[in-house]
Amino acid sequence: MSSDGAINVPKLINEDGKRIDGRGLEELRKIRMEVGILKRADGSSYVEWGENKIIAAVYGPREAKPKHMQNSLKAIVQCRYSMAPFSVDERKRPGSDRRSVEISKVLSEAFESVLILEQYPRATIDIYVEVLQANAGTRCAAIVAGSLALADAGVPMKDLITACAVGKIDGKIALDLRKEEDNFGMADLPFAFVPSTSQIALLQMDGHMTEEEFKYSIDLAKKGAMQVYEMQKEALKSKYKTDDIETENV
Amino acid sequence: MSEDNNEIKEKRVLVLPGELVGNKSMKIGNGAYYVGNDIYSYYMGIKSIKNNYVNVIPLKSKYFPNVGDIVIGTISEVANSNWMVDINSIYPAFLHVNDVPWKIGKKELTEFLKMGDLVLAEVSHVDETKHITISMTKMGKVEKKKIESGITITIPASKVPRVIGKSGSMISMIKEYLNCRIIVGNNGVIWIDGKNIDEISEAIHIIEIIDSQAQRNGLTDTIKNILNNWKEQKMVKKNE
Amino acid sequence: MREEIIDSMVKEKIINFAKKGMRIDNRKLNEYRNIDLLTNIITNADGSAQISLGDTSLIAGIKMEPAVPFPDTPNAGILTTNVELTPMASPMFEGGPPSPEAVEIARVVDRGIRESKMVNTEKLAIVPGEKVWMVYIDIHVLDYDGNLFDASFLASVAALMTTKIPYKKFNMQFSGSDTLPIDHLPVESTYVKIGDFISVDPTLEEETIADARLTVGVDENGDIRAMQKGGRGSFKTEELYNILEINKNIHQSLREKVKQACGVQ
Repeated sequence: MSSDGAINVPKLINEDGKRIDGRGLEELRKIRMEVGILKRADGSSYVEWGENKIIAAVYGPREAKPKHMQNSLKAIVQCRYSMAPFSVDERKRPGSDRRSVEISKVLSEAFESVLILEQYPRATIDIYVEVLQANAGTRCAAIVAGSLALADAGVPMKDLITACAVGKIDGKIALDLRKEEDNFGMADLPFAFVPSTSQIALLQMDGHMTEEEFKYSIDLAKKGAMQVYEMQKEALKSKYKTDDIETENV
Repeated sequence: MSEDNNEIKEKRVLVLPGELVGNKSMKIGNGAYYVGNDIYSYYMGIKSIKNNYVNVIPLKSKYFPNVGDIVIGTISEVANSNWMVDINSIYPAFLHVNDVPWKIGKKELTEFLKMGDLVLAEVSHVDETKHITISMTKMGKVEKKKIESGITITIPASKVPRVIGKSGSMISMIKEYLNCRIIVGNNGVIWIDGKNIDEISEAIHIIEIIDSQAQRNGLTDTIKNILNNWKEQKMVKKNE
Repeated sequence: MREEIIDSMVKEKIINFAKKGMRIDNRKLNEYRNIDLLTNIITNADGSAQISLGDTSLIAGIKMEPAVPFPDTPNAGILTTNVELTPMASPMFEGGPPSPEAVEIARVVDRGIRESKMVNTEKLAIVPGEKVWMVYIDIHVLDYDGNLFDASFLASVAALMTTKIPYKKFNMQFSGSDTLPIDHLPVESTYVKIGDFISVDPTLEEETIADARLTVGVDENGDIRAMQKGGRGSFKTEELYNILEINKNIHQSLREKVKQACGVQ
């Protein structure tokens, strides 16, 4: 996040309204998704979002251990977000840190909102997300990857969850900030969304926005997230379509 | 499960979680749910409408037992008067000392079954909280026992019907060609025993092919060809 | 790390196959699984490589930064290796501080690289006595089906071979090459003893029931640079020498794989 009164803050939007990587204010970075890429896990996915590289794996439902963790009425959801030491500019010491703990928590809660937990008492659904390369927006990419891995694992869900972040750079609201924009921008708002119910499953914000800017941001985030949602569906369908399985265009 | 014949099959439609699969004129079967007047899918799977019930059959699912299922499991825990058995499901199964074919008396449980031992058993009870109980003393076609020879391989439980085939046709064919004893657990664990490593190895290979090609038509013929080729090659080797 | 529960007949099954010179996955006893090795995977890192060895898959990432040298080697750069057994790779791996298994793999990889003098650390001084390059080798395991030793080693070597020293990032001038000073190309091979049989590149199943395990690190001349015996069983002397003999035919082809992946002749 930016520091007020910082010197040498680079210009993030040029005279033609283009950002430092040539994008318009409402343009997503290039995104690529692949499903079912790990052998051991029950479900898995790989997402490249701009320069982010994220891999997600799901184990479960499986019996929760140790026993005291079990909920006798429904499954628990445990998401672990972790960054590889080489994923960031300055090598990150292996092991947990407070930021990862917080992100793990908000991700777990987001996934819980769509998972059908009563069907699996005493069980756990474990979602592991590893960031192999980071360039801002990793928690949104984590939601997208985790959602794909859950579908790939055959875990019942009301819907896929999709996500996209919005921010404020040079006073303007912009979709899908990259690292420099996040570092020098004025606000960052990660957002995750369940399309079929229009429910907001994850929402965080830090920075400075007026109420009007905020509402505009939510609208823009939804638009971005819906584009990502289409890509998620396409990634799942293209993996499992075969000669005698077809898909309907929804 | 699809039958292996030459009919033109209707196209199977893949749906995703949250996809619309029906409306209020239909009823929900497995894998689907109502929101208002619409029916949505819980899974990535194949939409199947039977008798106006909308079902979604997930592409991948974990085995969950029905009472009466024959399962092959591995002892994962030894307690005071019971064992816990890994039956390749979400939960382990409970095996009580009273449900094994031996009289335990005051002896240690590990004298009869220890960690890592394999058993052939039947699912005797499943309750509302999904506690699973298995038994080795129920009567039935298959003799329940501790497995002490042969090997096991595991495939997804959903592919088991393909390995068995229509009225057992596929599994009988494999057993005959390869001169092996094979027991297919409903939980996807398959036990193979035979005199010859080559035959056991080929049986593993065949089952792996069935697993990877379960969706395809003409699978029985494909497997028959493979078995015939293998038989010929064996003849050739013998005559060399 | 939790123990994998392998059924009690797996060992017998593997021995019966081995008697016929076969393995469950149709390999011969001295045959490696398919190896896919790609370098420059993580652009944030100074060097990187991704390997799949059969169904085992991991990424090795190299990060470099200036550091204070150790007092007893004031002019030498520092290498340090870490292995993360991520929980996604196997139900046996739990998050948390490195387990003894993770530490052993990291130290065996480190030993092979350090003792072979693969990287000439004397050439990694920035200001002799004050500032040297610290080279972090971080191995991140994604999928586990046995033999993390060899997978980690091959990926680490490939990553080091294709590392670019981040002079620009730290506002340093340089002349000539920005690659690491590499003097040797070691490889490591891991063998398991199951009954009386020795097999190379064990799968998870083979590794779990093995009586003993031996990892051998050799350089391009076939000289031994590192060795590690693992497992609760033991080797007879003849078995040890037999492994070294088998290894003579194996280490060069592994080296070729690494060179290919790095675009080196």
